[in-house]
Amino acid sequence: MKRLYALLLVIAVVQLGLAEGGQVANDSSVRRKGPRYFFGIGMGAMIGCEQCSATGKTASFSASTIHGLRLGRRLSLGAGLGFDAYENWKAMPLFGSASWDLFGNKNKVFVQLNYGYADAWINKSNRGYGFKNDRGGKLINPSVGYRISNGDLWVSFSAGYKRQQAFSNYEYPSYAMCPNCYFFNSNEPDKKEVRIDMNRFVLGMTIGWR
Amino acid sequence: MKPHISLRTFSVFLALICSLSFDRCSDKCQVKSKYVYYSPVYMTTAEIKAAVGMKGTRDVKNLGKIYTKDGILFVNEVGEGIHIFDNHDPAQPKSMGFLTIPGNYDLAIQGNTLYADSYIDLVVLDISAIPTIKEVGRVEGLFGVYNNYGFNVDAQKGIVTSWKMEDNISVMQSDCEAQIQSWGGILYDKGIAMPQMSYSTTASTTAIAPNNATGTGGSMARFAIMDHYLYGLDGGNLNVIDITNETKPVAKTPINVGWDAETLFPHEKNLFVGGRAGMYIFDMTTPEQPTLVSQYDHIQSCDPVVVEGDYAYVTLYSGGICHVETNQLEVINIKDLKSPTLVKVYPMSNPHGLGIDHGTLFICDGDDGLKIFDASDPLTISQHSIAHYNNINALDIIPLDHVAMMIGSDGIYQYDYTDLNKVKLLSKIAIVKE
Repeated sequence: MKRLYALLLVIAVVQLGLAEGGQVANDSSVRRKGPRYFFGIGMGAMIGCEQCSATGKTASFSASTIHGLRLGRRLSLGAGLGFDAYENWKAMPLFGSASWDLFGNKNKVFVQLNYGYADAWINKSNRGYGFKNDRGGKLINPSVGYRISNGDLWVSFSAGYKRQQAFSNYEYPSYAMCPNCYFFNSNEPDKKEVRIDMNRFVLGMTIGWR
Repeated sequence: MKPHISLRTFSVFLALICSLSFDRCSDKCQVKSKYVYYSPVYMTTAEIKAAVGMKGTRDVKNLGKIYTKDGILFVNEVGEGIHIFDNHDPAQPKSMGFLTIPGNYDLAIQGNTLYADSYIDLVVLDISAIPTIKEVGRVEGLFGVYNNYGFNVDAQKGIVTSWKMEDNISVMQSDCEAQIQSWGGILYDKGIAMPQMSYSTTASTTAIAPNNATGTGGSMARFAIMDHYLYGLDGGNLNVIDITNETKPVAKTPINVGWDAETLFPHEKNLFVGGRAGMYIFDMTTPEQPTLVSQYDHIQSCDPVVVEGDYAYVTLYSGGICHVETNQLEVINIKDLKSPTLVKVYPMSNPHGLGIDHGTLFICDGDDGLKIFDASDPLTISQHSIAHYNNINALDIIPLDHVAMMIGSDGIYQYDYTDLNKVKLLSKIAIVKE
């Protein structure tokens, strides 16, 4: 379902972009030859919840840096490293980033997709009984933003969606239910793997160069 | 160029993203559980009944309780039946065959009638001609606690006779509000049954025959015969069965004797019930209505008990279901049955079964082997060691008529203790390891 939403979002963006095609066609920004290095450092808030009924939606901290190349007038490719603090988890994502400037002249509206893997660890206080280990998982972060440039410096504001997978593993002794049933026990512990998909609405601001 | 068009468009995008994602920004969890569970294996009652009977000899593999009467040694193969040995010459016991009784863990004999449990039933067998032992009666559904949780008897499938270990992997989705706990062990929705206790694997016996018509039971036996009544523990209940007509037993109203009841030991007009939390003494003057005389409490432990004269001897041992680290012999003065008092405690290694015969105390002290003491003075037992065989894992013993029949983890040993200064091994029936 989320893929469908993402597709609808892209279609909507393209259609709106075409509707304002004149603006794009008449963009008077200076065309520069060859790829250009850029970087940005950003931070923001992730809004969502794990224990929704208990806490309601909460905001948590997110930060990242992206380094890459601008290829032509619209496309930017890069790689980034970040740090995300969820309610019960912390994650350090390593991701690839693609950005497409939709329209605008000096200041531009863009869409961006970050995709990668994040190492993740659960807070010690949230590990629970039987905790064995944890690990991260895939990260996907589409967003739309507005970038304001001033010379080689720029600042952007974005809104998007972030989905982060994480896994925690547990082992429990194999309990029997009656005092005299101990002989039913096996040496193999019960195992449980919990995969959590953390879905967040993300608002961010990035400051960059070039 | 003014950016106002772009800002307007951006606002549209932002609103779109917000509407699509904001209300969906809650976490989703998937819990994948892998656990082992035991699914029941059923036998129909018809199959169980048809299986009862003498078969050829077979190896002793999983020793349960032992019982002896008139030179015949009966050795329970846990859950499967009874090995029968001609033991008139303890130096050369001879196998007479194997009596198949599915779900058998305990036995008692009066006259020529053997009473044995078979899952939830009590089976009555005529043993007057051992090669052709046959079932002559049955009290169905007597051991209701075997049906402890109401699951193990199914009208169509029959009775749970064993458990098959299986792996299970389940995947469940949740909203992360409450993660689903996986517990292994027994899968509740497929039922549970308890065999008539694993105590049988550590059964101990002793050598007090209540009367000449019965055989010799044990200190951890759940069966005891007194004055033409068979008593059988069924969890915390004591089944009372009138066996005046040996082949036609009549079940009477069971008596509750305590949740922790494990063993029965008849002594004169009293029945000593060994429980994990203590020892209970019942007055059996009215056979169908045993009356609690007194209770001696000790720490929770496994505790076979034997009685001779004015003293009861209780071993407390750790391990198995006992979950305590107490290993000792307790001597209790029972001269005043209403007020049993602890006389002396002797530390032991891991004492299991015990037996006493005319002041000679035999203690199966687990890996520390068989210990024999002169218990004439209950206050100085440890100072009067007669013999110590420490190269055996000793579990259970019947000292009777100068022959001690002992269960070890690797077989049945028989000792001649006619001369206490020269106790000697007569024979060993070895367990066949699979």
